[in-house]
Amino acid sequence: MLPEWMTAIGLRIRALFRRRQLERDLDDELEFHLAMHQQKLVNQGMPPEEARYAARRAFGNPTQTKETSHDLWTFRFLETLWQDLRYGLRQLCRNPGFTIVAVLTLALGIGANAAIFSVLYQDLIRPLPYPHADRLVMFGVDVPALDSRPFFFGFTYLGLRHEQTPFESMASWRPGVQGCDIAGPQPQRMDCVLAESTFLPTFGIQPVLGRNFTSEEDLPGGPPVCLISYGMWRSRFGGNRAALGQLLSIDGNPTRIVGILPRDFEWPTLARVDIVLPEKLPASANGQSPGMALRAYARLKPGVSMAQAREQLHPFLERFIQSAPPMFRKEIRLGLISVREDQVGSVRQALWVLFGATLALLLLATANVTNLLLARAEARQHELAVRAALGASRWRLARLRLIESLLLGLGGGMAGLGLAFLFLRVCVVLAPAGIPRIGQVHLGAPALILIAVISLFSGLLCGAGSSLAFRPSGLLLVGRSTGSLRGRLRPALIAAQVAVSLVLLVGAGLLLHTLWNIQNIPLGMETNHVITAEVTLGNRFSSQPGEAAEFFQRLETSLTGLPGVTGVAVSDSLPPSGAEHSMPFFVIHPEGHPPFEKGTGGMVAWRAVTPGYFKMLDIPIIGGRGFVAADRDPDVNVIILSKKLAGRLFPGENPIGRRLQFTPPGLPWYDVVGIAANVKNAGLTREADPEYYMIRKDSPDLGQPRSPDLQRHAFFLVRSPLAARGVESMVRGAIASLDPTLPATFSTLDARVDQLRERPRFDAVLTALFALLGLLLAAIGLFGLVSYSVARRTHEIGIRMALGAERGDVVRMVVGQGLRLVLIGVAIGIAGALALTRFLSSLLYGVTPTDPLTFIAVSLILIAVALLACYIPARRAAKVDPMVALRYE
Amino acid sequence: MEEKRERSGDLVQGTLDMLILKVLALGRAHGYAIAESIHQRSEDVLRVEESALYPALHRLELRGLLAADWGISENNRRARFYRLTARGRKYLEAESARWNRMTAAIARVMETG
Repeated sequence: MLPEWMTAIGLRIRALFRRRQLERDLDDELEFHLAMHQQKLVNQGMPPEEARYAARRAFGNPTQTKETSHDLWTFRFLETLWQDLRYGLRQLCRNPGFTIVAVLTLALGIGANAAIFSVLYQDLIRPLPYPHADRLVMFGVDVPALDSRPFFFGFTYLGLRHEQTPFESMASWRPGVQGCDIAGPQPQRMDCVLAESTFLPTFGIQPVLGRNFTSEEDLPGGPPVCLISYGMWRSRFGGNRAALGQLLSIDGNPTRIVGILPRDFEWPTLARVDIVLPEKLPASANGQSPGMALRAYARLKPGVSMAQAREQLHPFLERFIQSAPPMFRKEIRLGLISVREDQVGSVRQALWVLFGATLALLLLATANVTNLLLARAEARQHELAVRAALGASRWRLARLRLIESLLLGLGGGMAGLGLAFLFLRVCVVLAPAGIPRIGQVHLGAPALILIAVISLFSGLLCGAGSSLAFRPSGLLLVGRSTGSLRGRLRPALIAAQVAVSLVLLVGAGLLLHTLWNIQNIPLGMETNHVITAEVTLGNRFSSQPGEAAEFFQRLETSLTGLPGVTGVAVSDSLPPSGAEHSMPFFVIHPEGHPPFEKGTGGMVAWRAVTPGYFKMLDIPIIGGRGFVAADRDPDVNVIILSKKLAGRLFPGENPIGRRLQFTPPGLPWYDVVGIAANVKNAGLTREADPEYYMIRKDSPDLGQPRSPDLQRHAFFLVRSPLAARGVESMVRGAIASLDPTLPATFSTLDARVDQLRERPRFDAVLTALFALLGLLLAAIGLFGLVSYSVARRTHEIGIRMALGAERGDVVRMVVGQGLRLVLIGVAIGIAGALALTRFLSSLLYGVTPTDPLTFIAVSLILIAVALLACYIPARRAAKVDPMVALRYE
Repeated sequence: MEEKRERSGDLVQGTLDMLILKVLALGRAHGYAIAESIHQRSEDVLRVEESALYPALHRLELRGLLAADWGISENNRRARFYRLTARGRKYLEAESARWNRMTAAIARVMETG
């Protein structure tokens, strides 16, 4: 048997669908009762007419009886809720101005929240597409002088394979996803990566088709095999199973496809990867070969924490430190971070800060709407009192207003969805490369849930705030309002808004200051009007020695001949991002000096450039001379030092005319012919490294036998006063006329530098946007409160003026009252900002989190805006005509 | 809350419920007949007010203690007839037992006075 409550609900639901029937039945039943009673009285001898009245009298109140029964049969709560809902909607439609302002205000907060949350979710919360991803770590040694991320030397990693580790499995790969050429009827440039055979098992990835490569295939000399991405399988093989086992010519090597990676496969660095090849590490580290640099991932054993893992890896670290050159030893740390941390890095802080800013904005918006609702509640006091007098319970009245504010919240949520799209566009435009995966960010289910939750929550908050603060007196004596709302809530809200707004403004001020500092970092070079073309030659060039060098020279000549081009230069890398080539300081050996002690001096950057490089970038030659064409002769060995390096190598001496050599000895001596001014070469915010320049020689190896990558990869710099786009298409044409299949990446030097400012700009612009919106909301709130108080005090102001107050006195009085709230808010805000800005410190450059200038400037701006918001209604108050005001009411 | 309120019909709601069930234990009846029956059997002491009777009937129906259907009354009018369900019968038994215990206990207390 069904429990009682279920029987009841079932019967009620059935009644719900037959409402008219229910009404009629109730009528009929009572009617029948009356008829029977009447019949009885008639039978007792009463005249029918009289009997009818008697029966009715005896019955009491049939309507009430009917209503009681009716309520039993229906979901009374829902019915009145529906009534209230319709009533609330009607009320909101009747005041479109109020409704639009309230909905837009909430939409602003909700939209900003949802947009930033979407970015945050994508980068920080979204589960990584690997099972038990929380146990995946990146590890290695951390040597800031050599690399910003943890790495391994090949032999160190191989040694670790045989040791006790806190890991269930480990996998290494060669850092850097490289372009590789697929030959065949449709030649393609793909992105290849070399990884150990343990890579897929460590990450818990199964190929959708085929298999992973085996550890035998992963040994030097093993059969050439590869895994291809799902996307490549679809586009190149049409998703055909026959792709398995086919031979793919990768950089000229026939390679068998043994597996297809799953569709949601993601390389842990988020780089695009089409083909995974075996890394082919030797089975053991025999010999002293220092080995290539590797990166390594690992899966922690279940239940092992990061701290425990660190502990267990300590002996390994100790041994590594002992084997390192003494000067490096102090700098070596154990690098052990989660895969997510490696992906996200410093963005984490920025995103949380921004999310905090949008939450603050939401609070400001909610406070404003609460204020609006309070003002409206007062305006409707009469109506509410009438309803109360007619028997509406307090709960019912409160619910009515709660429903209205919930409707506002929902409206705000819907409008906020639209705004969220807009804000998200802004994010993407601001930081196409500065935030990982920003291109893939979209308003997904998590953001929609967030919108739903916060719109309900903010609606509830506004409604509860205004309902609690406002109690209708219950009397109809409300022609002149005496409601208790004047109380303290509205002023407190305003002070709180000012405080929150100040915190936002301080954050924005500090980040803008940072952006300003970064924009104005002297680079040591001129970046205007320089087009860059990055060219990487395909593998076919390496088969014939000198072919690549010859190609580069032909391209250089052809670019020099372009109309409107005033200069061409070639380099293997470009400042100010970190140099691709660097070497330890101690391997440089100036003539006449004893060799430097091993391991001293950090790293030195270097580039191989053509003679036009210094003129192109306007890097001053402050001593000696620059390179000339004759220096490109294969038998001439000259070098130019940066000022910093010259000072280190030849302290207190004139380096021009001196010679230096690189260890190991046997390489030629280089004549120092010039000193170049320092250039930012390690990113925008880091101090410049010492640097030297070699010349790209007219020889097959370009004069750099030890750096074979130089022979395939180059930046061409083209200076022209013409519009960048036109020059770019000319350069594109020149490259295509030499080799139509050669891919090249074009940019301007300005844009390349600017890319480094993307992150700080993203942080600063968004925070500033939110802070401005917040300031606007706070100002509107203040304006509303002061206007409201002026309107209510018209009478009083009239009396004051009749008694001799000047207009100025009135303005001062009104503004003074508003200002008092503002100053309280500013004081609280400064305290709050002092407590909070330290969370910004990792995002700041050249400014401290408690920068007094920013604090003062921001406070003054806020006070100025607040004064304006008070002054407008104050002026209106001062225009009050005392006679009119006194007659009023 | 409202439903628990004591109606002016001088009968506590639970008692009224029990009486209704008791009357219906003898067979199906419409509302008027139930009221009359209680009136007569109490020898004109108890008068069930209509404003209490019908809500009580509907409440019992919603609880599944009664079932109702439309039929033709003894004077050929359309009337709503109530009858006891199995659950109602069980409930009545429990209630009567409780009532008997209670009245006996009250009687004992009163006697000792």
